[in-house]
Amino acid sequence: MYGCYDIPLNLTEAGIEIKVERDQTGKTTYGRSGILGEVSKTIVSRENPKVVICPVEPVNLPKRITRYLMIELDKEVLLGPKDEGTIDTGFPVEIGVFIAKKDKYSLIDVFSFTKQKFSLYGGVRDGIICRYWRSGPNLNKDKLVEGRLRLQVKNDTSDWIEIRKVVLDASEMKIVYSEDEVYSEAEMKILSRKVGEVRFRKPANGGTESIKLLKEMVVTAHQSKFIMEDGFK
Amino acid sequence: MISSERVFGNVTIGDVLFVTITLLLSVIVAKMLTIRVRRSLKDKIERENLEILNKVIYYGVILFAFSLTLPRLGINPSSLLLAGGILGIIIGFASKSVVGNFISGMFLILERPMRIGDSISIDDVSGIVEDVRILSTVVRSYDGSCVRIPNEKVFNSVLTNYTSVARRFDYRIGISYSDDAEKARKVILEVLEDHPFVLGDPAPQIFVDSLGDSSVEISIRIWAPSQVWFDVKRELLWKIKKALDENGIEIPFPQLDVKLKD
Repeated sequence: MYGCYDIPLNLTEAGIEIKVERDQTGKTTYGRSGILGEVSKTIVSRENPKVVICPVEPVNLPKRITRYLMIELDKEVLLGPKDEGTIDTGFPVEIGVFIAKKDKYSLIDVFSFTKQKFSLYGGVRDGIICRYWRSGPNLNKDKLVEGRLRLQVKNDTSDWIEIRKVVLDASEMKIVYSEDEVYSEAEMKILSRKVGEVRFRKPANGGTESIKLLKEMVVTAHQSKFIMEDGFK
Repeated sequence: MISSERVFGNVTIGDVLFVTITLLLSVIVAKMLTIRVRRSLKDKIERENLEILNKVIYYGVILFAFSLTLPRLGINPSSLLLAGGILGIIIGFASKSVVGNFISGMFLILERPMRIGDSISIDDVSGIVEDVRILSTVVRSYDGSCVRIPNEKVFNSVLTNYTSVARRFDYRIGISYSDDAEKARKVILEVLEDHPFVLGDPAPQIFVDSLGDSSVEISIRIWAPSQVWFDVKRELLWKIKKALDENGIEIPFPQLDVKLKD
């Protein structure tokens, strides 16, 4: 499903049908139907645009109320003092449909085959709402459902640290996709028993880079890392 | 010595120079102080209020310095104090509520029990805070009307601030005595788990709360993100009712068994 397409486009996959047509007056119509409901839009463009379908940061559905993503690991990870390692976990996939003209993109639709759920990290007064995802014991191999997140964990403390939850700022998420998978990378530095720095980084794996949907949320003084101050469990 | 030459009365050129330098210094100090106040309270106070506060500080410092220099000009401050005192009493009586509101406003700005955009309730006024001014607080009530509350009232009243990241709401549903409360609990939980904005953590609570006259009372406590909590509250009750109906769980009407003696 992922890729860059010319118009007209007629794509049927995983129970949904995407149709993009252009009539002689230059009016382009976009339609999606199938198991995830129906969406229809009209696009006005003088030139013939292209359609790009790619995974986007998974914080848009059913409505964007947060930019944070909480991943609960299926099994608790115990990290030794001053130790480091790699955890492979998953993240939910949301699929964005963009209309593209030269290097200008505009989102026309976003949908997902995953169940959306939200959770609170921290206290009711000063915590943050996160898109919640519990990654199963085995990653879902369907790249339309779950992506692979490689998490580099480094324990700077002299204690054993148990990690169950990871909270990330999705506006910094860098997603790549290929024939086989949707992939992203992040690093986590444990600073104390309850505090850690988590940030996305540029994926080392090759693949096509996804279009960043949350770019506009990045402000001048934006912190590229998220500080987890309420523990990892 | 030129500085000991008298200008008028006992006032010498030195005195005039002292007063001038003191006043100049007070202007510099007042300027520095207002710059510092502006920088430190820039994000905390509304611009208009900050300007008023700065003016009070600026002229207050200069006035204080001027009052210290008065004896050098041969003016007895106690006579001014007497006149000022009488004037102060008159103004004080006239502007009692203004001063009260002003001081309350200062405390509200410093204490910050609410911010612009917070959802609050003060006495019988509920709504969104639109502005916290020096003398009054403006609240946009949920029906769209604008309410101006004097700061003294805000300061002396019980203020409930509903603004938080997540907000809880409760339902109480009665099911028939003949129905299985555990099954009802599972049905309700499924509805809650299916809703994206019912937070997974803090998890919803569903439990038999009491045995009523006509029904077994089930309490449901749900946490939702503050931005959408009212939408979630509105949607869920009917979904729960439908799910209970579909599973054959009855929500009974109040009933009374009357037994007649022969």
